[in-house]
Amino acid sequence: MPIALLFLITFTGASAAPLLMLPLESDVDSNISILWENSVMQLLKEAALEPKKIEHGHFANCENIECVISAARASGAGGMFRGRLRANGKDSINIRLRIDWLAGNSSPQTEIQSTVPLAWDEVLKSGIILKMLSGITGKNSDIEYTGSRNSYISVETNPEHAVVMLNGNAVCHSPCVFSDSGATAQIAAYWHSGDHLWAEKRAIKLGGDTARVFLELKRSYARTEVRTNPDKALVFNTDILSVSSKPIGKIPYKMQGLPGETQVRIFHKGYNDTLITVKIDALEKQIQFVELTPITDPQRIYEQDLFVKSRAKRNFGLGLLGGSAGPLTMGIILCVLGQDDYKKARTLKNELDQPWAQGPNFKAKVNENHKAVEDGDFKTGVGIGLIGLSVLLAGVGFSMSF
Amino acid sequence: MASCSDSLTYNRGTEPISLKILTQSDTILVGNLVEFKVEIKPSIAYAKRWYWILNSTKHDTRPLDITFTESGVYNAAFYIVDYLDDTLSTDTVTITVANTPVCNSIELECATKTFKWDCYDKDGEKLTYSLLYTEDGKNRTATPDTNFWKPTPSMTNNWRVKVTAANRFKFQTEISEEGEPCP
Repeated sequence: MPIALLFLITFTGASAAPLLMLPLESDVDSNISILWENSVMQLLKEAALEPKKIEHGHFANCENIECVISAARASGAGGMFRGRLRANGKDSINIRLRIDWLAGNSSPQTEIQSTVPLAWDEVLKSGIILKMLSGITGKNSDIEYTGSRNSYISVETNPEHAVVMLNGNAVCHSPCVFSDSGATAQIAAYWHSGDHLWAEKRAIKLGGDTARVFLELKRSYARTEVRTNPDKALVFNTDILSVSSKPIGKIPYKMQGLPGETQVRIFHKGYNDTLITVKIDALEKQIQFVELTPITDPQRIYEQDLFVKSRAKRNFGLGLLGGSAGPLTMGIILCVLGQDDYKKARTLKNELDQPWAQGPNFKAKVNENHKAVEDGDFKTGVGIGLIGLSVLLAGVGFSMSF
Repeated sequence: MASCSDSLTYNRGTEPISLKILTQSDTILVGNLVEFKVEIKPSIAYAKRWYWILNSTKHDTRPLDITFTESGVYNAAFYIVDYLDDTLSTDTVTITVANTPVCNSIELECATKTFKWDCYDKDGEKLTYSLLYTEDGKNRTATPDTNFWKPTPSMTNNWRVKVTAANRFKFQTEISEEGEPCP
C-alpha cells in the first residue's frame, strides 16, 4: 500500500479526534522554538487536524513517552505530535517531527527530519515548514520523507509486556508489531520491577518483509554518566533555573533510569546554562561529555553572579530555617525533661513536708529535692534559650529565604 | 521561672520528730523496779517501728518496766525508725543496781579490848565504816578503815557500839551491840 494512501486513510479516520501536541524539545534560542511551535500549530489547524497543545505534565502519572502515548490513546486522541530542535553549527537547526497515529489498534508513526536555517525569515522564505508538515501528515507532500519504505517489525520478549523501543524511542509493549522506514533498526526492550531493570537489544536489517525479533531480557545495570568541562557543575531538572531550584545532582552525574532520552540542565558559574539530552541505553553503561561554554557578556556575568549570590543567600536561609528545627527539638525536649525534674521535686517536697527523724536518708532526699529543682531550672533555662535561638534562626532564615 | 521553682524547694518548714526520755539516770537496789518513759513529738504515728535497747537487748514495749534482780550498770535508750528508715534515739540513761552491805556480827575481844565486826559487800565493793560508841552517857564517833576499833581510854562502864557499813553507792547496813566492861 502506498504510504501516502496509508496516511490519508489514517488521517481520515482520526479527523474527529484531536491531535495532541507536546512542546518542542529544543536546545536553540527559546524565541526560535516558540516561532516554530506557533507556526506548526497554525498549519496543523489549517490542515483540520484539530491540534491541541498540552504540556509535558499533562499526563501526570506518566514517566515516559510510551505511557503518554497510551494515555493519549485512552483519552480518545487521534494522534500525538512531538518534535525536537537541535542546533547544528551557527546557522542551522536539525529538526525532527513525529506523529504517532492513535486511532487504530496499532500506533503507526510518521516522522520527518531535516536541516533548516536558523534565521526565521529564511525559514519562511524557503517554505520548509509547509513541506515538512505535508511530509508528516501526508497532505500535499512535496518533499522526500523517511516514511516511504516502511517495514513491519514484530517483537516478542520474555517476559512479556516489556516496553519495546525502536532506535531509542519507546513504541509499544511486547508482543507488538510496528513499522519503520529505515534500512536498519535498533530494537531494544526493557521491563522493570521498581528497583531492577531487565533489558535486551538487537540491531536488525529491514527488508520488505516483516522482521521478527525475540528478546530474552536479562538484568541490566545500564546508566549514563554525564561529565562536563569544567567539572563540578550542578545538575538540575529541565525547568528554568530560579533561586528556588534544587539541584538533583553534581557532575560527574550518574543517571540511572528507564532506557530512552531524558533532559537535564547543567549549571556552572561562569558558564552558560546548558540543557542537554541524556540518552540511557538499555544495556550499556555510557559516558556523555558536555563542553560548557563560558559566558563572555559582562551583563550576563553580572546577572549570573547576582543569581548565584541570591541562591547562596536563599540556601543559607533555608539552612538556618532547617537548622532551627534542631534547637527547637532540643529545647522542647529539655523543657519537658525540666518539667519532669520539677515534678520529681514537687513529689519529694510533699514527702519531706511532714515530721521526720531527719537522718541521713532525709538529708539525701532534701539534696535530691534541691538537685531536681536545680536540674529543672537548668534544663528549662537552656530549653527556653534553645527555643529562642531556634525562633531567631527561623526568623533570620525565613527572611533570607523568601 | 525562679519563683516557680522556689516553691518546689524544701526549706525545713516542718518540725522534725523529737524524743525526750523522762526517766533519769539513777542508782537502785537490787529488786527495785524502774519504769522507762519517753515523750515522742508530734506522734508515734510517724514511726515505722520503735524499741528500747537495754544493755544490747531489744524491748518493744512502751513504757518499759524492768525489775532489776542483779547488780550492775544498765544503759537504756529509746529508738524510733521513721518511714525513710532514718533512726532517732534518746540520750542514754544509766541505771546502777547494787546490793546493800551485809553485817553479820560485832563483838568485843576482851584480851585486846577491841571491837571487831563482820561486814562485807556482795558485789565486792570496798566498805567504809562509821562507828558510834556510847559509854556512861557519852558518845564517841570514829571512821575506821578496817573492821576493828579499840576505844581509848579503855571502857570502865557499860557500853553500846553501833557500826554503819556503807558501800560507794551509800547503801548502808547497821549493826549494834552493848555490854559490860571486860573484867
